[in-house]
Amino acid sequence: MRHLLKAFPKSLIACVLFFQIFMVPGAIADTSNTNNLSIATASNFRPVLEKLSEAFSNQKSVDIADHQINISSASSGVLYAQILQGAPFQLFFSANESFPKKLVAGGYGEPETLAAYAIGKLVLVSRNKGDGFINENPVEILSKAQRIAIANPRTAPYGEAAIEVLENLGVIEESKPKLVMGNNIAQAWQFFHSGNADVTIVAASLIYSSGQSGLQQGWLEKQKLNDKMFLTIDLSSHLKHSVEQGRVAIKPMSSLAQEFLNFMDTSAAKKIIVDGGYVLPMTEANVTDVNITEVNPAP
Amino acid sequence: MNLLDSDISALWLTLQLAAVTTAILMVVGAPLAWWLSRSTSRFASVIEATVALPLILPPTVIGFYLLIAFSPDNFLGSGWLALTGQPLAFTFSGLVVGSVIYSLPFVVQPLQSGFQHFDHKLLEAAETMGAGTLDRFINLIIPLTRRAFVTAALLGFAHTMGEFGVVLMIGGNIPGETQVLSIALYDHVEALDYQRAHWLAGGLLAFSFTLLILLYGFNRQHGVSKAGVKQL
Repeated sequence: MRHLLKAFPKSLIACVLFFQIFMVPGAIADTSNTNNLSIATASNFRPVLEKLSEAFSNQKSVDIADHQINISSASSGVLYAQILQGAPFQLFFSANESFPKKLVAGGYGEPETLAAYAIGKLVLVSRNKGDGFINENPVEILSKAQRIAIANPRTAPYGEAAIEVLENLGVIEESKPKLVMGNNIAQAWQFFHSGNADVTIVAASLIYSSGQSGLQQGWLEKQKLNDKMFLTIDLSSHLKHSVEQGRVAIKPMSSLAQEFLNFMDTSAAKKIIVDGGYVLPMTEANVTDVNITEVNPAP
Repeated sequence: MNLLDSDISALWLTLQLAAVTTAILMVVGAPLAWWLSRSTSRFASVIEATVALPLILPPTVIGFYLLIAFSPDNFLGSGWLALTGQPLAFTFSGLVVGSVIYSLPFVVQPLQSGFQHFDHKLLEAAETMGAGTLDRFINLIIPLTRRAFVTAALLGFAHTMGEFGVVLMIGGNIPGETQVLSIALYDHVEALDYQRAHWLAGGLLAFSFTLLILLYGFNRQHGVSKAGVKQL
């Protein structure tokens, strides 16, 4: 420590300068405000939820003068555990239906707010290794992969789904030594995105948020990421059940939380969800909404 | 409730990582600390600051840069891949690289302090008697500064055992390969498996406490040293 202390006066000056430059007045959010809405979301839904919050706050009917939305993202299991421990979230968007159901059963969630809000698409993404050959067979891609990044199946429903696909494709045993697990699906995607894993199995929403789109148009798409060609394959057909994502409001429910849930039912919100790489759950309201069902890709 | 296989392998892996890291750090750190303790050049403060950086930097900073560097798109990652046929991220070797950086100050600083209090006239005397560099190092410097060596080794080992943030970012949580104790514990907590978490947390606490008691006991027994652990 003595070595550090020698440099103390200089570092103090550096600190003062640093804070003068970067501490913009009002940059610190006042989280004690009762008009704040704290939302916990599974990492796969974060990009879409950010857009939803923006759209929500821009609505004319909402008094935007004094509300702020704070979004926390992690794997659904982690958020579930945090809510059990009393984390101050008002809404919870999970990557499965079971965590919200458990919260309702445990008395933490408002039963009438329990609903499915999106069906996720599970995709396999692989890099073109530069040989110009694009393989379209998931089994072959997985067999040739060096590192397969997935979300931790213990806490992330998409990780669980990825394991299920590997089992259903019959490649689980050979894939096990190649699996690298992110804390949540965003870290799994980042492992791939940074080039450290050559294959990943993630939610399609993450690719959409990376500035890629076009997944709706076909089963197979070659896309460009960081000037490296990469390929996405929809794996949803290899899952027994689709990834139904559920949400619930945490007790006690605020009026702002209720307003946000109401907004989720508007066609504007549904469009954001669909554009973000999801399919809407087959509720009556969605089926009658022709504009939205049209976008659902054929399997 | 007993420890499961995956916990045992996490323990074994952690011990291996700490041992390999400490061994590398002792070999690399000793000459570096010696040079730092003697050098008067301006450049030495830059090196000294670099060595101390992991003390203050969030592990996420180190983890982030390592992850970028390890990518096969980059020089280090592609070089390693060409050399070994394996990527550096998510491997034991990758963790060793991270740990060496992360625990560097915990080895170099005690050694440097020890060397600073070393009487250099002894070296000159030995030299006039014909002792070579290696001879002087092994038979003179090491015995006379052994407190610093013990402190450096124990702190380097213990600090690597407790590493978390860097491994979280570059490890990929692979059982038997990169899932060290702290990560396995984190995994249990996140999955609400508190019973297994308690085993690991309690074990790590007891281990670290015992190690520090041994270290301080050793230092007291051999006279309170100006070097090493007192500063840290």
